[in-house]
Amino acid sequence: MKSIFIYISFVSIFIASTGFSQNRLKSLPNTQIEDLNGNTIETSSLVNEEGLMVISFWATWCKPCIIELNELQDVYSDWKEEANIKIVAISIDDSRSSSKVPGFVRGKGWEFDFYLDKNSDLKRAMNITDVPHSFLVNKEGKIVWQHAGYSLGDEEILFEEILKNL
Amino acid sequence: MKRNYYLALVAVLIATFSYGQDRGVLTGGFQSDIQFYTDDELIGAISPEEKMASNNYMKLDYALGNFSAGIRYEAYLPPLLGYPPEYEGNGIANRFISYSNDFLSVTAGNFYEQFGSGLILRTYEERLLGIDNSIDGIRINLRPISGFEITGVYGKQRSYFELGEGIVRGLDTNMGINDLLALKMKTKFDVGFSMVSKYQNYTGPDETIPEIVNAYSGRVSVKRESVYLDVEYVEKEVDPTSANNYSYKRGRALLANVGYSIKGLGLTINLRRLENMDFRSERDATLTSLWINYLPAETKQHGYALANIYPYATQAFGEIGGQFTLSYLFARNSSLGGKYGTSIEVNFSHYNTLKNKVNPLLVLDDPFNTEFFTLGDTTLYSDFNVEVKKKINKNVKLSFMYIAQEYNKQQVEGGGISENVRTNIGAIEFQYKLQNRKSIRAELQHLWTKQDKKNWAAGLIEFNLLPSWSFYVFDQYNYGGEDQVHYYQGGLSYTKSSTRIALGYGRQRGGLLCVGGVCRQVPAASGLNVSVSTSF
Repeated sequence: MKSIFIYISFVSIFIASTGFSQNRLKSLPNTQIEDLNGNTIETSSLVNEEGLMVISFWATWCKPCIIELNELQDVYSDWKEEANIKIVAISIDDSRSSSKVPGFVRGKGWEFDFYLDKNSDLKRAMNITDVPHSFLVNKEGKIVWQHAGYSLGDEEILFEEILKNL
Repeated sequence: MKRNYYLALVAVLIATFSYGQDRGVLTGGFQSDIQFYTDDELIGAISPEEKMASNNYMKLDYALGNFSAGIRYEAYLPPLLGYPPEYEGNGIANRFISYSNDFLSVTAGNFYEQFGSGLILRTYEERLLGIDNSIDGIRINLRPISGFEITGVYGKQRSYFELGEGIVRGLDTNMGINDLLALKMKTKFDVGFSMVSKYQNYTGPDETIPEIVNAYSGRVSVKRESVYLDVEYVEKEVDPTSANNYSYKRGRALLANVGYSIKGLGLTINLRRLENMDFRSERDATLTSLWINYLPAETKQHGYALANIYPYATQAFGEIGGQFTLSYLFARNSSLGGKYGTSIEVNFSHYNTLKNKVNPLLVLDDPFNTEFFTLGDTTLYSDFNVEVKKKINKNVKLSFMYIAQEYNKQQVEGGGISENVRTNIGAIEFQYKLQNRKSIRAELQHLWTKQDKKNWAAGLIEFNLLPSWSFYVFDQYNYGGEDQVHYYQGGLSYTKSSTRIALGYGRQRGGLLCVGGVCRQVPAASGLNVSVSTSF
């Protein structure tokens, strides 16, 4: 009985706080990530000034993430041409597999902008539960759309959102 | 009491800022995993007294200008089977307040930190394993000039809803040599040094037990366009604890990563040697609690379920080995690439025990008694795998995988059969995009082995109804074993924006559950599970 009470209060507080915050678009949180050359980058510098930016959180061990990035690679040149899109892939691989990321992405022929979030600082700041998780960010650095998980074909839904936000 | 104090502090801050001109940004996340258990004799699942268990996490973060603060509430009502029972209950598990600008960052409260690759210190959260070893204390990070960074940490680690007894103190520096010496060259050099010291009071009779244990590390990184080399070495003072059977040997770890990559080709080699590197902030801590350093298994983390029946877990007491990974893309319109290109990945990893010196009497002054670069006689783990991915046409993709593993069950799980388990695994994955926003993904897997539970077969079908619905059925069939058990599962999920609701029913195989190379034993379970997660 006590557990149910705790549970209900817990959910209510959460719903109340979401209510307070839905009036405006959120910016990307400012955290540090690494590029593949080991340079520290501020997340605020990621914004695509020429158009929209897709941020995809992924990991080398995450199967749906790899399916998603393969699908995005197939359409990337069209999207760049039609909508000036920049795709940023942020790996949450920790020290078990982060050393494999450069070889992995180049060996797949992927052409996105790659970054490492080795201790999940940015993942935590963006309240991501699991990878894959993708965001659509506008020129001002505001998050206009996001999606948890990936099912085959989701990139078509993402492209519809891109067209809506052009 | 102390927790309430922090909670009040965060609340007051939020209240104060919310009256200001800029009200700041409030973000948060919520996750709830609920399971209803049933008895299932066939798989050895015994439902607990409480038929319903749940793990719940709620997190709120607030940011205003250079300030940020956050709080996380967790409730285990009671914890899901397989999680440490010490989690039972609820409370504030994490709260912090932080200030940062271009050259300084200060955090008070719980924080996550990593020195180098984490071989000497890493605090992190992994909910699937019930790990959260955040340090509760103070963290200061300074970046006074370009190319130089120094971080200091001080505090006690989280242990369930309490804090561990030991105090952890650490100092870490990173130097970008090119920036510091204004070198104008393509090759980039970085070096780093860390020191971590733990203190735990000892009141027992044994005068040889140290209250302070220090560890030191140094690392070098060289990068030039497509090539890189990272090397890190750690040495730890004598640290007798329950986890290492009160060993009086020093600890040491060596890690080297080498990589070469150009478009269409990637090559990575990881080499690692560990000796007595179990490093925790409390003498009696065991299993996954109160680790100071992070020692993931340097092997491929497989996506197929049958390849995870025999996963390697790092042997912190002693292991030596390495891993090789090659990724290659056969270009479009080449003979092997076909119309759309073909991608291939080859991975091999192998770990052995350390080699003891032949005559320990001759090496009395040696604090280690082991040969440094020689492999010991016992194989701990070995894994060779090849994966080929091929796009057939606009809507169909296929992938094939072959895996051969050798697994020392006795060493890795601390018991069981004495003969190593040798597996051969084959898997096929099929992806098909249908018309009208529908898609199908299917997997067929088979595992052959003469040892342990013998052969397994598995099949998965996933049907997606975009944009929100997904359905799956999955069966792992241990037909070679004595009981011939089906571990069936079925479920569906609904996703909209950052919210995901999933419902599943079926059997969970007992055994080692590994995420990121850290493992915990989970019991076999059967029943209904519900997961809800969202963020704003």
